[in-house]
Amino acid sequence: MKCVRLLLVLVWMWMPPSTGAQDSADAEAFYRGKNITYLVSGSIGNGYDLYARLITKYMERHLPETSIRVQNVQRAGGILAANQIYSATPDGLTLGSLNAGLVYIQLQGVEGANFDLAKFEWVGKAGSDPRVIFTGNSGKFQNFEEMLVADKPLLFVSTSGIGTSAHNESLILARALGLDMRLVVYRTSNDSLMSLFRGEVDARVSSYSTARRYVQSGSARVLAKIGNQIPGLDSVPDVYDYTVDDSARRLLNLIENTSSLTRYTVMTPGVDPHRVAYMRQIYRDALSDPRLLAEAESLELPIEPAYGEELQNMIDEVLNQPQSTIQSIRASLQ
Amino acid sequence: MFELLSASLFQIFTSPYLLLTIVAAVFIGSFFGLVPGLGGTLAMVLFIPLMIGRDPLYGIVFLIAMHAVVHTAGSIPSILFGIPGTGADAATVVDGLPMTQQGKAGTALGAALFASAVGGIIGGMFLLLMLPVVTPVINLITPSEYFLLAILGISFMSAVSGSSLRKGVAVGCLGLCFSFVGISPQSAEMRFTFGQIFLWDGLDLVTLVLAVFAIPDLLFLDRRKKHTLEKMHTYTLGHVISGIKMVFVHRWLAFRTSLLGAVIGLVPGMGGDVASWMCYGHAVQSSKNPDQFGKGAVEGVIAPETANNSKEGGALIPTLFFGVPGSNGMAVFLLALTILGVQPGPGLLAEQGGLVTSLIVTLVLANLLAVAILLPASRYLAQFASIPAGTVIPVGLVMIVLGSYLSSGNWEYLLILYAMSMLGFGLKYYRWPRAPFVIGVVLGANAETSYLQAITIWDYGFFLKPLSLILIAAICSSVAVYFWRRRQEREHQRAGLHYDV
Repeated sequence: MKCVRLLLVLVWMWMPPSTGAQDSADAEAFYRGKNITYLVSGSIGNGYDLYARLITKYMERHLPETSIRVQNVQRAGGILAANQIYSATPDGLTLGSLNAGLVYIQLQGVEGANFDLAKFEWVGKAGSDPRVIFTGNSGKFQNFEEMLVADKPLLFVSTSGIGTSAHNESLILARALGLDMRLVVYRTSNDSLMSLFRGEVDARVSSYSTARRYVQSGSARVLAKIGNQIPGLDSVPDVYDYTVDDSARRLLNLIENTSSLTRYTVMTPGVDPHRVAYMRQIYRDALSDPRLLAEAESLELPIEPAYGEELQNMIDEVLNQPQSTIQSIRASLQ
Repeated sequence: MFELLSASLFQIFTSPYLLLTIVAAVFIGSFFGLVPGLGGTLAMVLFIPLMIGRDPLYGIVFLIAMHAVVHTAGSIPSILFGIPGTGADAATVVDGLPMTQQGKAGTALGAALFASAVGGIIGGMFLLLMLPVVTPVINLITPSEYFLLAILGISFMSAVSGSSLRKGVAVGCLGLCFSFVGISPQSAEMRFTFGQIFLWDGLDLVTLVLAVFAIPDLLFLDRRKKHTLEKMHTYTLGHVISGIKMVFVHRWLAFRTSLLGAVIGLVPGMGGDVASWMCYGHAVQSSKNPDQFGKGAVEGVIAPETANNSKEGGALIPTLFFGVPGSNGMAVFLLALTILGVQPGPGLLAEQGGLVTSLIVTLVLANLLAVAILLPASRYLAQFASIPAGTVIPVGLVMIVLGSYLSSGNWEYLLILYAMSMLGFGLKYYRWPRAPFVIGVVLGANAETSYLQAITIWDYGFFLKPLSLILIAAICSSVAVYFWRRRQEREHQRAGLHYDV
């Protein structure tokens, strides 16, 4: 037995130590001539799809003769896509972009969601999508204070069906602020917007990137923001100012942190760390490419990147909620 | 408005470069329509990067011309092979494929292509006429109206039931049950999902139509041996012209369904599926020979094709003037507008009225050009229909499987395709109507969601809104007309006469 140990030690000593450059070269050699599948949760043309197609186009340019095939996996609020990436062979050839709403799905413990967001290999993220509460110009509330003292139940729109961020965040917000609210569920984001502009419903919780276009064209106004500093919305009240309760603030904090985790790219858990590091570098190179930045600007896709371990820490922080907050989320989403 | 329109006409017709752009876009759009699984949204996504830094007029003209003709070309695989590229093309299969099997592919193609052009032109005119009254009209159509429109469509089930109302209603109710598959929009309960995540968002319409129509029809080819070269040799350009003439014969139907399609296009989220199936139902309901539907009635091709194309004119209204896209394709078009530096919204007409009228001219011109290009080509395309059954069946089945996979994006749907094709085969074998099933699936979910929205917002008071009352009257009339016709038919039969109301 001693001889075997000695032999192992000798072999280990004889082998040259691995260097970062060597690992990167190995990873590059692995990816040379390979085909990567990049799964996008959502249909062709939606925000996730546009980000994915833009980023993969530039990642391909930084990869060695590697092609990336974008595949849209619709349905079930991104759960199908997440399950597919999570259970793929961990060879580094399956990547994907998932939606932020999966955080709520995981915290809620939805049946069929066979993934753990914390275990994905987080490559990077391209943007943030701070949340606001906005209303149409014909809406009956002029400001957020009026909404808080309304004598009838508030009608908020829920978009793209139950289980989406808009739906979950409206319910969590209502619980945090003690709003008497009813959700009107629409098939798509588009018909919910028309309903808002007609004044049939009172407000919508949404990303500012969605609201901005209508605010700029004069069809809508922002009533409140949820945490994040948003350029141009300094005078808009922040929902944090309307509660001092710690548990309520934790719920608001969850919405705020989740909104900064959008347009992200992940890999299957268990991929060789060198390949993960290599892919993170490629992602970083792509997002630093001036041509990508110029194209993103013309497409009005804001780029606010974060990479690798920083992102991994962000998701850990979002998922690591006290049991009381998780109970509170589950109660509000039931 | 007239000045803007004439300026746009002059600008487009005097610019060879703009005309060439439209011609190129029509060719590209036709290709994306011809190949099942591609579609107009993908075409838009692929061409969007080319719009960066382009002149807004050229970019808009190119994209709108390309998108406008996708459904025109999409009618060709629906008619020749029974394989619709999208849910909106699916209604054309019901009568288009039987016409091909009867050796009338030329007539069906002629009627479909010309009806598409008529729909596109009326859709463009609708958009033009709506310009001064956009906001009040859009505000008129709310969830209560969506709900009653869906019920009106469901009431057409009786009309497409053929000789047996009971069979039709039974099959339609089965379709309604299938429309409830997925997560309940109100209570978030899983309904008929059997623990399968891919069923959460409901069933894929293209897969259902392929299973219920295309597969049984293909399998019956072998039984009847009708699909032979001999039969198809009777195809001539005369058949295509006779198809065009049929649109003139049924001009009022074409007009009504074009208008209905454009109105449905106004409503974001209703989609092309609803437009084409509602118009199909209306064609059967208003026909003098409702028994012929499903067996190769040309009206069953004209109605959905006009609606498919006219709805684009309607869908442009919320897109351009509210910045809210009326369909998936329009969502990508909206992004393209932003890239081209055009700001959609209520002020668009005042700020860039010339661009809006150029868009309308392009919409009409592209629809006309598509017919000019595809009609001569249809003579050659129709030759595909003359392939013997022994070849058509395996090739067709492969295309069906591919079509289902491309549309749903999930391999699990192949199991649904298999299971539902047995249902479709059974319905066809025992001569039960199949169209009510699809109408039930398409409109059931729309009716449920709209009802829940309306009841949450207005409670039961929404039934008393003026437009609601008009629609309720239309629903009652639709049912009453059906029963009156049935009674007339029975009386004529008793008197030994042929039914010809």
